[in-house]
Amino acid sequence: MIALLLLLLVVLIAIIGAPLFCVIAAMALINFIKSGIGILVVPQELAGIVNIPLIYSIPLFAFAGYLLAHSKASIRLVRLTKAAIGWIPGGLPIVTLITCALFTAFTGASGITIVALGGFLLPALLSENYKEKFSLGLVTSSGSIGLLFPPSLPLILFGVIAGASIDKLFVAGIIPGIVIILTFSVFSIIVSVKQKIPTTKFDFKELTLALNDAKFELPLPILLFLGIYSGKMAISDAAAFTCLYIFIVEMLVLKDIKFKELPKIMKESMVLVGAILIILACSLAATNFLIDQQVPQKLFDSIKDIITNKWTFLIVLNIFLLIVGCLMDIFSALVIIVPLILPIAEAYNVNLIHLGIIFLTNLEIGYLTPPVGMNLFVASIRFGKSIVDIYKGVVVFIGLSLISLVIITYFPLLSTWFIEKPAIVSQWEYTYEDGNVDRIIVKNNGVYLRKKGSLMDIMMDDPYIGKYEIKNDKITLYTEEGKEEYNFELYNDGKKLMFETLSFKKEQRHKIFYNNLINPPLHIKEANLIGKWQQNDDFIEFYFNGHVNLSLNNEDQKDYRYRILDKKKLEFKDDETNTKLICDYKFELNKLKITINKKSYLFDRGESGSDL
Amino acid sequence: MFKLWQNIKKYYRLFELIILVFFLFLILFISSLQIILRNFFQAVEWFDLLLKYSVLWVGMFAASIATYEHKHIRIDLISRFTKGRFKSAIVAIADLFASIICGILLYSFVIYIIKIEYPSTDPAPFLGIKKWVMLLVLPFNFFIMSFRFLVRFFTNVYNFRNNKEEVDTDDFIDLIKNNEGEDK
Repeated sequence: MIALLLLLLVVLIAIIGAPLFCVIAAMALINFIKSGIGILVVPQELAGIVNIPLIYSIPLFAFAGYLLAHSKASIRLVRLTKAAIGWIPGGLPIVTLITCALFTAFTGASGITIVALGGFLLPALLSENYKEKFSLGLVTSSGSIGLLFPPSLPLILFGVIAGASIDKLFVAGIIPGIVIILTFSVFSIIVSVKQKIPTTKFDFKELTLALNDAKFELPLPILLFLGIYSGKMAISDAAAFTCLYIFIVEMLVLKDIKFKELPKIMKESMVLVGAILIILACSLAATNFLIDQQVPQKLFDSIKDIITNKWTFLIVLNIFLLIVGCLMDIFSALVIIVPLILPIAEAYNVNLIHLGIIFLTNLEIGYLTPPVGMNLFVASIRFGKSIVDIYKGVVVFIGLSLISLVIITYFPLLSTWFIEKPAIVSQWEYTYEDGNVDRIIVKNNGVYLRKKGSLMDIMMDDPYIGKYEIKNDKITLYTEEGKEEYNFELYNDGKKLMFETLSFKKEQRHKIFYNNLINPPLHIKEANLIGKWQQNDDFIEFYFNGHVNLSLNNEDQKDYRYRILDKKKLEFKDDETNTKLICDYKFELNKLKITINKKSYLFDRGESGSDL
Repeated sequence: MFKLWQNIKKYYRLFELIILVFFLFLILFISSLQIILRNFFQAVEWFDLLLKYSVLWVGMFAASIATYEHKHIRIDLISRFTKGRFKSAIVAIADLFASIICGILLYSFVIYIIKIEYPSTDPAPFLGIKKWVMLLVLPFNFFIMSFRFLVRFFTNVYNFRNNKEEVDTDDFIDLIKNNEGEDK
């Protein structure tokens, strides 16, 4: 009771404006003292911040962004986009959107876009006779529009907190980011056509001049794009590279920034980083406690009867996050809310990467919503307008953002199109409460192997071998007695397999989750290879454990380790001699064509041995 | 006395800035060097640890600077919409609270380092520098932050008593001095 009162007091102090890190630390302290663990855990958890992977990419990207913001890159960027697309109807608003988006991606949406770009974009819009309300709203809402594009800081922070692959997040954000820009652009075009704003002519000379002007900065996004998406550049490398590149270009080549200004810029950028990192550190202590206390589990238990499927969950999540976005800024919202929502989203089988994009889109809207929307305050100060004027301007854009949010949330493919689907072909295990185990191996050729019983039985007994059939999301396992039918779904990117017993009555249905024994889980492409392939006396057999056994041209069997390089190429590695062999592969109907040393072999699927 | 206080403040802020600039350059330099080493030679393992602790140092000193620059992230639903004396009172409460929490964190870190990290026989992460030495940055900056929040608290109490709204100075001594100047 006392603890509860204390917690309430802490929340009250948070609302009156105490620094958030103190509020979070206070919660952690109260909880640890209450539960008798003692406060020594708090410093231990706080110091754990150094072990967060990729933590040093945060100061690097932030510093790079601030350097860019203080240089004249913004002017060159606007000039270039204006020359390239300024001539279409609604040209200048679209220029505003694109430049702000790119700028925000690099500067991490800390209100700096409005300060750096708004100053000359707003007068430019007004001089082209766009109405003040529209122009103010556009510039203000553009200040956070690039959050979904790499290498935005909130995107990295989500990856760090959720343990999601940052490379994947970088790819996932692109199309949803474009969706938002498109929605805004369409609206801008309509406004411009309605108001009969004259268009400018396309000027090729100006374009070449603008290109020449931006010739040093332009290669950076291209190099980053190629580096990251080809997999040659890790995120940590990308951070150091971006920072070094911008440092050299702006400081040494273009000399936009004087060395005298450098300490000030460093301080400015690091103050933001410090404010984020200290909240992150304190939240490590607080969220670990919440997770130890099974708060997410309890939350899930209390909502699972009301929210029965993924889609309703996503509606509720969106409403919840919009409220969060109204009350908190993006960094604290990520740090506090993500760890709580993560287990629940997993339980509803929301893809982690998609979840990240949904989070950021919601919080992006939070920049514009009263009472604490940061863009509103920055714009109000920057343009010398009252908050109310800014509110009126952004209302339409909040509406447009909501439309994009719905699209991004309910078309997961926009963010997950490149993520390979996991395969049911794998080894699955379910452990009963009494310690008995049910182990199923699902193979490619419609055959499954199954063992049930204690661990001892599983070691000793032969498996039951049966046939299975898959139709849409239904699987039928044929057994000695007849057949078992289930609805199935792969969860958490293939880490879990859900079987739901079929029954007409909803109450009688129940779900079992099998764990994948193969880690990392196989994707469909890899899983397709698994099994034995035969042609006359030649054979090749791919195992779950990454080994491949082959015998060609009546030679002795050879054991390799295999790795899929891309859609066409496989690598065989001989562990003994440490040599590598690259070969082509292709599926043709039910056949597998493999080309080794320019010689092709065409295999049929054969009977494979046990994998248990 | 006032002059001495001003000087301490000035030079300490300069010291903070130097530390910040040094560690940020260190992070940039080491991480760039590591890319070259990893791709063309062999990566140095302890560089990664050095990077991690450098981020801790940058982060903590920066958090400390954020305190006097009033740049910590807050959910200030109420103080944003209040004015005058009342605002000073509210901000004073928040600052006192922050000062106390930083004090408790300082205390817990001192105990933690003395009891657990200092006696620890784990190998030093790099260059023979033990982990507890790297962690000293935490209690040190919690001390500075606690002190700064306390000064802010007194500043706001002073404002409250003199019927003034919270102004953006972090130091009540400055404020008193300025007011004296105005009165004269």
